[in-house]
Amino acid sequence: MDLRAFAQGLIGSVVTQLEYDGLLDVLITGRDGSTDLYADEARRVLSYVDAVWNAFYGLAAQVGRTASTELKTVKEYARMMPFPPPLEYFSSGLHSGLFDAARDER
Amino acid sequence: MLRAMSVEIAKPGVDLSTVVDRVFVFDDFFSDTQLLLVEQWALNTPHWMLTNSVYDNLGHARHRIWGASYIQAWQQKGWPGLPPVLFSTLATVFRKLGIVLVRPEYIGLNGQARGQDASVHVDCAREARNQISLLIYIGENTDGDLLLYDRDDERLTDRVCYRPNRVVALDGSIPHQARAPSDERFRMSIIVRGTYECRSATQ
Repeated sequence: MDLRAFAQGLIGSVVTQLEYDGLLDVLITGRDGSTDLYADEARRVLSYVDAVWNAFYGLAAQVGRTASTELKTVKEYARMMPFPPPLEYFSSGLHSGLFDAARDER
Repeated sequence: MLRAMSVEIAKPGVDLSTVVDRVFVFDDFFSDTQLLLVEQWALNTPHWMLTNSVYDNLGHARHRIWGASYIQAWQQKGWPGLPPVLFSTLATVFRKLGIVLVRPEYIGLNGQARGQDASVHVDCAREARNQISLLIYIGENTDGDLLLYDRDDERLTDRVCYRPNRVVALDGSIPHQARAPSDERFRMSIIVRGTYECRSATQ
């Protein structure tokens, strides 16, 4: 496992669990002006993607400036990456009432 | 001659080339997700210690609050030497404000619980035109105002409310003091100060 693959895995886990067909689907859903019901959720995913890659850039540079004798294990570096918040965080604010069944008023 | 200090509500892109006697307040600075991630990181970092202390000439503690310093990490490996989430957060701050700290004197977390008022202090010498102090408020939604004082007569002149997702950029030679929260929540901020240079800002 390398750190780049780990970063991709973190992002992939969120994208997959939220049932997007990949990052392109996230991009389309969250695009500027999107009226998709899941637009806000997709934008939160994209913010998370930014955070993962920015952390990765810093970590990669940190590793590059570390003498090989002082390097930590990949696992230790991986633990320093931003792990995703709970999935409910991404979906919060969704107009869930839209999907409720009609009330039986009989 | 007395000069008036000014507190300005600002937006990223404002010219920060002159900060002497000025305090800039930026709200809703980060995306919700970035704020959540940095808050999670800060709360989980194992580096918190009761070491952010200021003592008077007689060695008496004037304040003692929670803190975590990363200045040594910077001294060893530069900005990438910081924990990656902190690196990412500061990269966002520098990019949006159009500045970079070329010689930071302090990088760290400050945390205050109820009763932990900080004392009045300054971060740099008066008229230090190339110095800036950045206060990045990230924690729980609580209070604990930043109080600003007149340099000459120590009169309270202004205050900036604590509010998560607020960034305050100020002339650190203005005497200031962070009040503790009045409730059970944790007032948490990232503090970065030192010599800075302006670069072009990016929204």
